[in-house]
Amino acid sequence: MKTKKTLLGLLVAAVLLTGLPAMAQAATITISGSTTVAPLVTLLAKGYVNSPAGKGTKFKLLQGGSDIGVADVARGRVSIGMSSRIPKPSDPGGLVFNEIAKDALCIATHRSNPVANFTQEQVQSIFAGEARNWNGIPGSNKSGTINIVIRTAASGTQDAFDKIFMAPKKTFSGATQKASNGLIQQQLQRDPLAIGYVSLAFQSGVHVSNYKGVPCSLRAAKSGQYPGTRPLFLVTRGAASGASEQFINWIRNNPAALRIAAKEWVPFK
Amino acid sequence: MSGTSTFERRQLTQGVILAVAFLFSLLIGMWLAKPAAAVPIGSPTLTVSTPADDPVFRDVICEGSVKEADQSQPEPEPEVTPTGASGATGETGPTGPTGPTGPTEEEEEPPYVVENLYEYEFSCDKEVFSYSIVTNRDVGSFETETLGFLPNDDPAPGLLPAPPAAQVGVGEDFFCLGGIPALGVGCYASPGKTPAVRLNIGNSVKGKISFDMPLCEAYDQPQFSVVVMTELGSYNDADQTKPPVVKGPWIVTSEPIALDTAAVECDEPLLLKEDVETAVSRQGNLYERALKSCNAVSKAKSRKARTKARASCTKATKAARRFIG
Repeated sequence: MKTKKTLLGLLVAAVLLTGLPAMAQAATITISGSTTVAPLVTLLAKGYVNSPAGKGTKFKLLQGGSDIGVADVARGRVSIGMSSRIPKPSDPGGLVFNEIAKDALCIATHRSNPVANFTQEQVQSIFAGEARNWNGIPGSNKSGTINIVIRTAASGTQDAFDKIFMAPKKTFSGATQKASNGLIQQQLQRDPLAIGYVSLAFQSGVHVSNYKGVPCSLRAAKSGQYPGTRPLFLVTRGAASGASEQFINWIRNNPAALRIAAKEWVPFK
Repeated sequence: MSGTSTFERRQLTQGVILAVAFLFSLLIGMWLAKPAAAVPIGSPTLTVSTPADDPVFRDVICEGSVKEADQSQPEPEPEVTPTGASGATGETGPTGPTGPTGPTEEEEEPPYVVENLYEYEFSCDKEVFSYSIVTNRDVGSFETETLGFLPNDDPAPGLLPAPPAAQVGVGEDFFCLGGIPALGVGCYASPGKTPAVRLNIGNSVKGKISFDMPLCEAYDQPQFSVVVMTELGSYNDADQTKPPVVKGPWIVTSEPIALDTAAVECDEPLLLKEDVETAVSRQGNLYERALKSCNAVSKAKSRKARTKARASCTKATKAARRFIG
């Protein structure tokens, strides 16, 4: 009997001694998805691996757009998907959207066309293709066809723009589509007749207009005054667990993480 | 089993059970340590194929540099004030907000500054479809999207006469991906698009990368290299009825091209002499300890003592190796 107990203890010890180090080595978090969330997540990942909570954790970061992130995590290809849109009915089941921060979407034009403010009706009219010339837009000094620049279909930013600014109208089908905030920013920098939307972090070199009389600024977004904010998510398959859960909890609660997020986003709290 | 005592039979049984337990736990450990499945990057269909023996694409010249990134808040630039503008009353863009209440400038925390942030820049005499920055420091974070700039270094050329269409790509834009920590980052344009997105000849890519430690807290000078892909190569599938698919490994990349690190070179000795001596001495002590422990294994008189000595040997060896890195 004593021998059996000894053997059982040895068996359990052997399992633990071999299994635990293997589990510790498996703290690699793979992330894909939103090009809007990616800059925030890289900074957070850097902070996390240098924190006591995240020592030894490794990250593999990819992009592709919110829809890619949602699809990848649903299929188990990555631990976490990044999304800059709220869940859609067409998303696979069983996913949990864990909010980590907020972002503001700004209506932007070329710097030589500094329209001070857009109302929602004006935004809808322009982006739906109803107003086609800058002549009829109050505050604009341009004349000529409005070149509308939007994001591609896989983009959560496009989805968020449709819901926040456009609903119930639809975006003009003849708009130029770009794959990222950076490309929209670049287009707006180069085309005096262009209008588009960018996240707060991509304002450099373009003119950002007020929306509904409220400036698109980090301060206004943090105070809740700016009406064009949207949540940013880390998506998990089911409730977050293990290393993913620890990372998400750290983002939401750790003061260092909140300070990182406050750089150009609205932190979780 | 005549000739074997009860004790020996018991020992044999214990040995068999331990061996089975060890194998079982090894299997569990291997299963738990299984890495997440790699995310396939994608396989865009090629529109261009270059023979592997074409010497042209192998010869690319790139120049670039690394410097500390400027994280100061930019002064808001005065915007062009339109003449005859109507309706432009009230505030202009760069001035402070009206309406919303919130924390004043003085009450706000200073903005978060990314530590050890550096900017790299390079341009090449061939079009660049993707690139990797490789370094001998642990990368902490990287800019996830980098853009191409015209040679005059003006990131906002809209105020200048529009450049010829041939000088600017469809969108000189790269998406970056990689590990954290890692020894570099990779950035790709969109080879699947037609025309393929690329950095045009003579234009520059600028990107930022940060590190876990100050660059000069290391044993050697910081080194940065760029590896570029200047042609779209193909990896032909056995099935010739299908178009060639870009699968990798990339077969049309340059050799690593060193970036100029004069701006980030470390002036002082990277390690003080005393630190080096201490490091060598400590390394020697660990090595001696490991040797002593491992010699004790063969001298052990019983199985129990041998097992104990073997465990000490393993522990001491690991400690010595960890220090050496």
